[in-house]
Amino acid sequence: MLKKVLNFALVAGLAATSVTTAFAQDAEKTGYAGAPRTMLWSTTPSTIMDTTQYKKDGPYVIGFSNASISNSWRVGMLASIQQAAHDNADQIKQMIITDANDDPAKQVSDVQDLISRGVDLLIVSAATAEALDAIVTRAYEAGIPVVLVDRRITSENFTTFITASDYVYGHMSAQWMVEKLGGKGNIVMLPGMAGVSVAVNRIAAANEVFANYPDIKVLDMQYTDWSPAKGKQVMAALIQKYGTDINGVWNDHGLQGSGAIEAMVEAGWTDLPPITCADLNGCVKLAVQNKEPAFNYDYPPAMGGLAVKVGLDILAGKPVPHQYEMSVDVAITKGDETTSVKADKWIEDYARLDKPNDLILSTGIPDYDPTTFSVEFPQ
Amino acid sequence: MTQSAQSQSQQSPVMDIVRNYGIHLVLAVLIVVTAILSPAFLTANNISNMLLQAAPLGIVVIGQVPVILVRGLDLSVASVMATAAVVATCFSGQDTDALPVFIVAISIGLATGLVNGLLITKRNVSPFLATLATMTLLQGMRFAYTQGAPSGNVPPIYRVLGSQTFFGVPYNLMILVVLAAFFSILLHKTTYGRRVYLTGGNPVMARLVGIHADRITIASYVISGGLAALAGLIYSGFVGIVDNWVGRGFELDSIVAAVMGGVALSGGRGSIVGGLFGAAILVVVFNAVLMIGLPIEFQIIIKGAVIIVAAAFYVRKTI
Amino acid sequence: MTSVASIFTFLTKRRGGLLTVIGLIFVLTLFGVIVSDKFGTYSNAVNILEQSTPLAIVSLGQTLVIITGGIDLSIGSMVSLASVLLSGLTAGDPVMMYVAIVTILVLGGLVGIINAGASIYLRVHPLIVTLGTGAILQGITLLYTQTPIGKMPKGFDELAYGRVLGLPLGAVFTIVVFVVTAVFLRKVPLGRYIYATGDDAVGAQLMGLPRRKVLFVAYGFCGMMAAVASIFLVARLGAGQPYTGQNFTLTSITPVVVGGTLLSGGRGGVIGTLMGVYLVSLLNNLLNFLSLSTHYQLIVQGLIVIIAVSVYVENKRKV
Repeated sequence: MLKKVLNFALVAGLAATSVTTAFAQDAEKTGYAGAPRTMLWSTTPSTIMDTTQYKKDGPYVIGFSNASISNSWRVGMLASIQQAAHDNADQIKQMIITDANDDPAKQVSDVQDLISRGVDLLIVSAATAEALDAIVTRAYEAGIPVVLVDRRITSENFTTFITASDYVYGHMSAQWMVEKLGGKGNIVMLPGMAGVSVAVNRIAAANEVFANYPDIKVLDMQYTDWSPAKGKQVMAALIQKYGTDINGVWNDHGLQGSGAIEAMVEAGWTDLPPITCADLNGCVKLAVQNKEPAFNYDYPPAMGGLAVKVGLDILAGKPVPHQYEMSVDVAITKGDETTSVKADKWIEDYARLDKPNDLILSTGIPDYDPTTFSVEFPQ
Repeated sequence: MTQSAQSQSQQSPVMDIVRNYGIHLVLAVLIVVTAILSPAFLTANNISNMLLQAAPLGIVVIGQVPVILVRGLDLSVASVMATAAVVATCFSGQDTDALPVFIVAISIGLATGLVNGLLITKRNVSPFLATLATMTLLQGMRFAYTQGAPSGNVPPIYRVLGSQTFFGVPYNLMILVVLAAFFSILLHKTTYGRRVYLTGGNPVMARLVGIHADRITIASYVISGGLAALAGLIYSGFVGIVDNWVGRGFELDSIVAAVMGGVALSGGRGSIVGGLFGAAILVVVFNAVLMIGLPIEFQIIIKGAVIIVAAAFYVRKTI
Repeated sequence: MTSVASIFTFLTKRRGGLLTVIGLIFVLTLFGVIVSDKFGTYSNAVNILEQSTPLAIVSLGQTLVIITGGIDLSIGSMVSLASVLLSGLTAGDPVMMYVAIVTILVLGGLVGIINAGASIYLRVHPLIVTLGTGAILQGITLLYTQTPIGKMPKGFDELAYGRVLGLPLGAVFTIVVFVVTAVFLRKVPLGRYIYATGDDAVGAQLMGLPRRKVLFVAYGFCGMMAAVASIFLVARLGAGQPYTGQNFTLTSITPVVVGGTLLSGGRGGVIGTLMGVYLVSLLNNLLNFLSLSTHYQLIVQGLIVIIAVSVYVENKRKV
């Protein structure tokens, strides 16, 4: 059993290496290349799923029910899945991809459609955890192996869940900011959207950390709809309201983060306060250009490709962990590491100064360009 | 005589003032209340911020007004804005391409307006559905073109126009003022303008005096499409990051602004200046709730309440 | 020959929208059967019926409002609020479930009545009123919960997935609602007044028809249907969520208009809406079978709407 876990960790670690070294330039910090951290650091035994019952000969029909491709991250995730389908075309007879356009009700229908088309494996990126629970449970109980990616369902009725943790983002980003400020200062929080799980989880985790430090004060929390423009508008208003009392800007994503940096620069600020970013080139790029201390922790779209690979393992009857958390590089601007939060990479190396601001990082596809990306795969 | 008509004829002087200056009262009350609650609200910088943010919405409203005057509405404006913004990033991202970007983006806007106008006049499709359909269509084409993730830089000159100020006065505000003046003159001082009001206010009369109502209507939608594209270009310069949702919410906000500003959805009544006051209310509300530090739930509720209250100040004959 | 021609003219003039929709349903089905052997199966047909339930119920409610010449843009927020209240109040308790269902039905009706009341007494266009109340309801929803909340008693999902005589329970319920509404509109005086009000509001009032009562009933019914739809949604989705109804605001209007009900009011009917719903659901299902990316799906949807609505000619138009 233990051997299997380690084997798996090794394979996954190798997969992660190819992902994480793509952007490495600095000899000192080339990014994390080891086995999945959550397994190494886990304080409880991992649940390993026996998949012998799903073992069958290929080529397979795989169904992927996507929540949407309404933003660049999700487009990158889809690209990563298509790339994996291309790379494993010898084992895949057909890859059916549906798209729910962010409508949970439509996604339930999509999964129903996929089941009725007799897929061998179901990959689901749920629009919301609760909405997809009933239908995915039905599929799972009917004997179809289920791989969840990015967003899970509420129950445990699935084979494996591929993710990176929102809580890790919240804890790490907040801890870094607290230590960067020496445990004392005023923070404004700019999350995405009220009532959306990514925002809810990341805010909750960050607040757990902030609450431990009596001299850290959250001045204000305002939602930005993950829009760079709204992030800029909100930050501009907060600058008028609080002025230079703002010592740190916590974002749950880089989209509004880039807008927030612009607002500070346009307000004439030169010594920019620490900021947290994720996923988006614009945020880290602006931080580097404006010499702003920054923390970046991606939620890698490459998890899409990993879902396909793990799915093929299931169909080959190999055991897989019930929850698989991808290792993510902590990137920090040079000289801004703190006691608890060390960098795997320098943001100066990680940011792509030559690429547009709207580029999504961490797709795992070398030189990924969303507008030109296209691969052949069995459809 | 119907009851509503009666009540209108029995207006007291107070009601008269409310009816004529309702929007100004609402705006004044908002400003005074916020200024009392938050000292940072009425500072030069914050006012400059609000004006900078008001311009894109204002430009869309200028286009929405003539459309509503001819008994229509344009739901495709946000989609046109996003498409124009995507176009802005599709070239080299250098100023040398500023003109081609402008030409392509504005052409898409004008063409969308033309399709809207033709569907509405020649095929008698309701404006709501026609513009909803072109909105969806344009969104699909934009997605198909960018494969979902727009990528590229906005030419620097648009960044200047969209986010810089000239001694505290935003460039985009200057554009707004020029456009507002031009289209106000167009609506109030030209034959075209008079025909717009007559076409929307009294279609039967318009037909009797030989106005080609179809042409007037089409022209209004073309103007709206073109201005939405321009607003999209300017908005793309506001942050320089373009996604597929630039301008989301502008379709309903622009209609709401116009109606709050006294432009009647039943056509033929209202002005651009009124619509711009409506836009000002939306921008002030957005800024005020931040300044006062209200949580998101109340921000949404207050916006909803302000919309209804402001619109209610215009007493109408029928709904 | 002439009689055939006159029947054709009659059909296209009087029932053109409906015929187009049924024709499109037929063509799409044929196309689907040719393209995929899994499309024309019984289980897929049942899927489509099952999936269409919430949209059908919401759109039936919307139909009545649109026949009065109004529109209800608060419907999406109403569905969201009702869904979180339903599962939040129930919290897994079968007894509380009945309390919760009654609560949301009453609330839905009440919100509808408030919408009607505000547009009657404040004399604000329903588009603006319901946009405002929609924002307020969304704010209240977020005040109540920002995360999915509560759960339903075991077996509640039978409502979404259960079968009656081999047909989905939801589809059977939809038919019942449809028949009741159709009979109400055609046979009950108050139902016929809905048409009269939408056709000519002033005229209807001059004739002494109870215009206010008509509006209260139409909007109240629409609000209540939003609550009913939320019951089926919660059964399908397992729990209420703060944004679950968002899409219904605009999607509920498309089937109504595609089905031949005019946004200007006074004409149309629920049979067209029902067919419109089936057309939209069929189209979504078929596009999945084609493995078309959403980008192209949007283009196809836009085109189908334009084709469907430009086939028949409206005699008058308004918002």
